[in-house]
Amino acid sequence: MIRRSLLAWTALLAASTASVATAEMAVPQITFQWQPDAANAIELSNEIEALYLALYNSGNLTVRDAELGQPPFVESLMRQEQVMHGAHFPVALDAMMCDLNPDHCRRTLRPAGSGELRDLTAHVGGYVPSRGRWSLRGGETLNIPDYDFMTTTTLERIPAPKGWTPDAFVADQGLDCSAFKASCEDVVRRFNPQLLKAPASGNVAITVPQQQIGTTVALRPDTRSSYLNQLKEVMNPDQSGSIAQLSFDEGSTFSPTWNQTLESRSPADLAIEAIRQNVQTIGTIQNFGVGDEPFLHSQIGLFKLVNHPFARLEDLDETQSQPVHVAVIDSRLSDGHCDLPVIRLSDGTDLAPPAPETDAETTPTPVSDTTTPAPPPADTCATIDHLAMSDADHAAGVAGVIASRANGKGMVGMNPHARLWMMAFDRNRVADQQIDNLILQMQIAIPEDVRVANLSFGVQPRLSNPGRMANAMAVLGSRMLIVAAAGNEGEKFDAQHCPVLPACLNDLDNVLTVVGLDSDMDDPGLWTSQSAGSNSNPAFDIGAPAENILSTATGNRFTHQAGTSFAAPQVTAAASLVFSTGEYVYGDELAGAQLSPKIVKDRLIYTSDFFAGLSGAVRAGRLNVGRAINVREAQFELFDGRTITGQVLEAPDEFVCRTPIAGQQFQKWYNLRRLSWNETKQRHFLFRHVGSDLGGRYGVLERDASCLVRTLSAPVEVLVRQNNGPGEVVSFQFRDIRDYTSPLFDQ
Amino acid sequence: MTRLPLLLLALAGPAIAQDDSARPGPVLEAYVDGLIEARDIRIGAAERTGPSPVPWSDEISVPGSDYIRLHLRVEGPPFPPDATLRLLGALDQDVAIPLDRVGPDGMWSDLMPFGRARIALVAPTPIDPQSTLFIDQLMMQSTKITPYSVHGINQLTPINDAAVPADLRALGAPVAFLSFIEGGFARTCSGFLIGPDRLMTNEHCINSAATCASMTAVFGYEFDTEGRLGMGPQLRCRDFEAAQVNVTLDASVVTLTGAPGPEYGQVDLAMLGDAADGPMVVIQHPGPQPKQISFLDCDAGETRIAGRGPETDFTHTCDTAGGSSGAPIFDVSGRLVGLHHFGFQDGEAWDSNRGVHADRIQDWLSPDTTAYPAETPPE
Repeated sequence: MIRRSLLAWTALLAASTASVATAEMAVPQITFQWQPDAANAIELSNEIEALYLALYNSGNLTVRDAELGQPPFVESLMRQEQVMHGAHFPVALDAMMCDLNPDHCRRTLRPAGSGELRDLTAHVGGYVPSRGRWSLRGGETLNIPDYDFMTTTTLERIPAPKGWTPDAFVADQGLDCSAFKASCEDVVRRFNPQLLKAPASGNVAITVPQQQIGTTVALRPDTRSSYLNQLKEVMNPDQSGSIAQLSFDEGSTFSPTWNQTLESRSPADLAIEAIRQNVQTIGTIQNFGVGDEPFLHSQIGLFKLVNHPFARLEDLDETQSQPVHVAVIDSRLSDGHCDLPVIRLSDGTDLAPPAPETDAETTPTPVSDTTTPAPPPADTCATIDHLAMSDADHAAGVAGVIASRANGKGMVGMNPHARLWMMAFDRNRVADQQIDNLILQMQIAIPEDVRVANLSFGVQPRLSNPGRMANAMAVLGSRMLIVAAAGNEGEKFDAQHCPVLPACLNDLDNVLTVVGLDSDMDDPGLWTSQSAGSNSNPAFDIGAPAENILSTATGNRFTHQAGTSFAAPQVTAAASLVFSTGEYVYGDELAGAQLSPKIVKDRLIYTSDFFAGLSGAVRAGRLNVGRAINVREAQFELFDGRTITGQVLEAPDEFVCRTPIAGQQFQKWYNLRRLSWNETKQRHFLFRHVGSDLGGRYGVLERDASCLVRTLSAPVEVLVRQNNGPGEVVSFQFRDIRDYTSPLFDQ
Repeated sequence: MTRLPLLLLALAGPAIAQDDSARPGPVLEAYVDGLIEARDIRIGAAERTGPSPVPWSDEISVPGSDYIRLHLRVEGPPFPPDATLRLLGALDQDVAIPLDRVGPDGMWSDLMPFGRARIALVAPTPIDPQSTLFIDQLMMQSTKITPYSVHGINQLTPINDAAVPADLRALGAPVAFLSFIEGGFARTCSGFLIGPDRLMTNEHCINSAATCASMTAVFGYEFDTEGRLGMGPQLRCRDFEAAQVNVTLDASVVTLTGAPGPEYGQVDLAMLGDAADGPMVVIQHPGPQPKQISFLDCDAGETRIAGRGPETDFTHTCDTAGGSSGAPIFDVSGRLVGLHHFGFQDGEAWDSNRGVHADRIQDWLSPDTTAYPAETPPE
């Protein structure tokens, strides 16, 4: 469900976008946890009234549609939709709802006095609260507040009536103590042990479960907010630029006096002051969720193919949201994009998302005498242009796949928290010059903070020695992973013939080469079109979907792209997520708190999805983002269908494979990265690190294609925790393992 | 000593009018520059599944190729007048080919540099389901050149190289790279503007309706002073019936589909130099290469010797290569002295390159460049 703000709603009422244009640009939001402090149901109604009025009068109320049932009353609807609680329905809420639904309600609008206007919860849009004159029928649709009131059961200390004993406690209807894994009566007995023996004699506090409701509310920070500096400390730099100068004018339903007040005050501050007693301390700055992206429906298929959390509408968690610096080496971009973050260029300048009114249109250069192509449509940040096919569009598309923002506009990249660098690469030079320039970029131009670089191009040298480029890339081996596209010529390369650079340099520890795959979920093959197709090589590392990839294009447009150029950035984004979560989780154990690019490269390889149909085309399988970024836990899939993730408490230090390969019979558990069942061969295959200490990740990652597991009944125990709970030990036998993925590091 | 009368002589029409039987055969430098491969890219109703107005898109990449061209053909009812095939490629090439001009005999697209192009069928109005567009041939540059250096090493130099004097560099703007297809081969030549929309080249380059129809003249195809490759507009040969052809002088003058003269300038046929007077320069596109200049060790030898006609030619020592045919030869004052057209190979060495005297061409085209006296067509 896409929520809309009241400000957007007022625009509808006023049939004028001018009144709210800047407000719609407000990307960051401050989120609060709101909880009532009511002692009874009457107070609860009043506190909800205060919440809604504070949000409404400050322009922060979020609304949604709801269909009237029977009886067709607004209060009934709000209770039915669980956005109203408490004993009564205050007049001010009726007035607010009336103003929210002018097609169904009229009321007398009497301007509030100056005293009432000083209290954000004492008026409705600058008018005195008054009952609305409603005209409603069942089945009609009304605007109602859009807040999810979550009911939780907490333990409260309250004065005990004289003579009270735990056995006398009877839970109110609806009180749910399942979170305590006990009945509410048992909870009372557990938490009041002393009263089991001696009834309360007065002035005794007892512990009882109480039902609490609460909700999350979001406020838009604005340029007048006194909290702004506080907010900036926790915001990304590229977000702070989009804090809105909120605008309220005559187009809104507020009274002129109240509009003037809001022009001179910070609406966010007014709201915070009004509900301060009911909210938690300022929490985090929350971008729009991934579910708010208008083009998400065009991306869901891709997210499912690579098992990205966005496929389940899950936002990235804190560990995955660290600002990893990513460089895109591609054709030159000259402008920012409304759906890309601030792009840092190698010369130190920035390409910021342009303001809508200043966006320049990009007109193709008419160089043929045949016809002059039409210019693209004007900027709306919602235009899909299937003719966005220039080299600059290629660069913008690569950037978008990686880092398009979650901002309620357009699409979302696979790591919207990545910091983006663009390194211009001139593909209009002859091949050897391109190679010379790339070597130079690698040697001197890569910013120190960059952890992943995406190279969605290939060059076939005519005279240059590939060793020079290999050397330049190897020098970066300790700090930067280079993700290369395999190329779109449909060539089948092998160890003897592999002329494309940098794709064919992936024997380096920090070069990862990506082949393009089709969109078959269950049996993917190499991507092909009528005139192109992914290059392949049994030694190339990993695959990712390469067709129908929605991404950003120049001129604030979007387009669908195809080819390995757009498979590679998916892997780049995934790599940046592994860097983010890996360094967040294991930072205290890493020398310099940095993951080695090799660790990340290997992680992406051994966590991919393997398919028999890709044998011979690529070393691993299709990118699996979700598996790669779950760095903390061992991930098991059992033959009985169970999926178990957690910490391995017990497993055999060594297990046995029946295999004709000498020396491969005995496998070390701590070297095992992946054990996966090959349905076709009816055997497992495995990835393991060898050549370093037991459990080390710096040795060679080897793939063993055939392991008939002979270690059958050895016990495996996994500690599974949910929501940071105490945990549960799940036991099974080694023979039950269909698929195992190790954590990024052993604890 | 082995003398090599190269096979292209057979394509060149009348032989040289010289009676020196010991003379080696000329190499007519309409350069065979690459391959033409069959493709089977069918864009019928079943393939036109994309959203309007782009029902089909794809890309082609031939790594290592300096450029490619696509042969388009339509079967069935014509495409709507607003349907185009859009080609986007390197060097900002952005070409839209109206598909109502493409018939069952097909046509060759413009040249797409660096062997890569993104392709989109753009059709704002519905296409008849029976109409099918084919990309049935792909021309790809693939051949390396052999420089024709009469003595010494090859001294061809990029036109904007710092070593090239500015006044010589300025002479090169009207010179174009010509790509065309003849006899199933992809060929290249050079040419130069002698009027706003009139281009001169060799007769052994453009000599038929087929070569005219397949020709694209690429202006501004050169490295800039910083070594970046650029490419300007591509113009096509308008109509071979309107072309002026002189077999004896090995010269063709064709009309282009646009008038690049105001931007790129033109060679003045009224101001000629004499090949006998001293050093010369040849500005040319050897093989598939961007514009180059030969100005070192570049001088005339014999003058008024027989070429295809008596006393039409002069020899010169300027470095050229296959594809240089049709290049202008200037004196160091920038006056046209000849039209390069032949090279002679003697064993592994080149013993002379040949140009046609500019005054012979001027006589043919006199009294001015807009009047072209007809010549008896070759038999």
